Amino acid sequence: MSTNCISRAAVRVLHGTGIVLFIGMCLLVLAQVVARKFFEPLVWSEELARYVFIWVAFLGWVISTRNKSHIRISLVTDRAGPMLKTALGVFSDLSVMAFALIFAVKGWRLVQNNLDIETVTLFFDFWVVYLIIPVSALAAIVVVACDMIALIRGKSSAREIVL
Amino acid sequence: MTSVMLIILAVWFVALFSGAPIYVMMALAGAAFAYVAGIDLIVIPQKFTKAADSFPLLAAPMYILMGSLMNSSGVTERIFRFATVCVGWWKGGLCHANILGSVIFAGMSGSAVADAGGIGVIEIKAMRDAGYDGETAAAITAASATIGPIIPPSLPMIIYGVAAETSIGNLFLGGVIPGLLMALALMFIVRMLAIRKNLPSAPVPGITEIREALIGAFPALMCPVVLFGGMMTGFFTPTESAAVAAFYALLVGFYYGDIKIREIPRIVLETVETTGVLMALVMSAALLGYALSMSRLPQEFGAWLTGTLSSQLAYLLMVNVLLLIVGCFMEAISAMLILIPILVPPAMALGIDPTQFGVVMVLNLMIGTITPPVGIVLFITARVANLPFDKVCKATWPFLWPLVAVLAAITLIPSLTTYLPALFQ
Repeated sequence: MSTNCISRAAVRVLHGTGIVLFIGMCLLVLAQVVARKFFEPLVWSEELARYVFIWVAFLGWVISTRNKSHIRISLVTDRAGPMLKTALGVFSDLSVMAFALIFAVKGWRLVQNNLDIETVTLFFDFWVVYLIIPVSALAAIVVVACDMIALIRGKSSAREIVL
Repeated sequence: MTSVMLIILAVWFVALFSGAPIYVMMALAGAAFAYVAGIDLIVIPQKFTKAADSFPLLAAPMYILMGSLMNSSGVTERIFRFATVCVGWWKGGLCHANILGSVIFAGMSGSAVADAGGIGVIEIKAMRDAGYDGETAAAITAASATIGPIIPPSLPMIIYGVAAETSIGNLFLGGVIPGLLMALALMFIVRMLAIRKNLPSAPVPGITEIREALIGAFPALMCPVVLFGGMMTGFFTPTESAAVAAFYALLVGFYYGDIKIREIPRIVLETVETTGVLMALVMSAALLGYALSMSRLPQEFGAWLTGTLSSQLAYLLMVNVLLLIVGCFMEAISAMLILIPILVPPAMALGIDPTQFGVVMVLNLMIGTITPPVGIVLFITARVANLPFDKVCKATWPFLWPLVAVLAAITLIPSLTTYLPALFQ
């Protein structure tokens, strides 16, 4: 399998997981309302929805890092020449990478610290919730490394999301 | 430790202009402080997850989803048609319809950007077709879009409520009167402009036209009723209302036949991405806020401030001036998250009502979205209208004053924001 194929498959997994978890989260909250009004209240739905949301937030972080859609102040970069622009782009990628590295290492420690800490109402332990931290951090490192190569080759592009 | 934090913040402020994502700069500033202060860096992933582990915050992505669904469902066109039937026959009628349309849309959407990029597209096109100049169309669309996050539901208010630990329900209710005042103030200016520029008006609609427009817009008009009815009667919490709202938007889309099932994954994926952008900011702001409080900088700043400014009004005026300047240069939610740990504690110490302070802060930063050089809503309307940014900026100028007037009013008269929350207590 070529690298292209692998990266496309990885992106598909990333997107697919994000979509499924997000829809699941919405359905959980809806089910909570329906169950409380018409059946027995669900005791576990709120906790699970919160943890799913944590996963969604981190997956969304990787997706937006890949699309370079994070909010930034572009007053300087918009007016910079091509050399300065590339330099600032590399600086930006390096800062994201530094952050993701801390995140991966310390996130992994957090997972290990929580191996036997039980969640309140759910069947799994806390480390499952934290597992998304090192996983998403590693994914972000790969994504940013690819972007940095593209940037130096002059092929990177960004699109900004507005809130 | 305060001096260390000040040095870090100075470096951080310069680094912000490098064009690196704002969140990563916030996170690295927090990490730098933790490192210097000898705090274990495991605090970084801990604070990040703790910030996201919040049920009230869950409302934010679901309201974003609702906005996207509504914009894809063609309901915006029907809202604008209804607004045109209501007020289009006044002088400068489509400007008034633009404002009324934004008020209705505000009841279903929580962001000025969703307004400008959603219903705004239809408004600008319709106004141009009716003979209005593009600049006026883009300007009034931008100005009226700021009503979106003031009338509930509101994305910035959810973020404010979570970050400042203030009741989101109260903030929502507190925004109703200011939002309506903004619409009235804008309509007043439009009225004056319409007479001076002799703006056109649409013919008076017939009964069948009114009925058709009402039926078309009915599901959209019912949305706030479902949301607030549900929340007031205790049928669901604000977070649950967001899920119900998203589901309602989906049903409306299916009802109109404008949303296809195969489009849903794309819409959801966009929402996941936007959630990632939003949450990266929220989570890193939590880390920076923690670092700030460890450094005791906000406490010392607050003590100095309350020593210098003894009256609530003086403090509110200072905050307004500061935010209006910051709003010109920075995106609203990032600015809010950075400034909350610094500005909110002194406000509480001075006894300012948390709801009033929240609404003042949000309205202020929303005005920032239509002021250059960084005015996100202006960028969008200029792009939609295909006009140069500076031309739209100039055309927006007259519409800025009514919004500033409302800001002054809610600063001076607390009951404008505190009356409704007290009523429903």
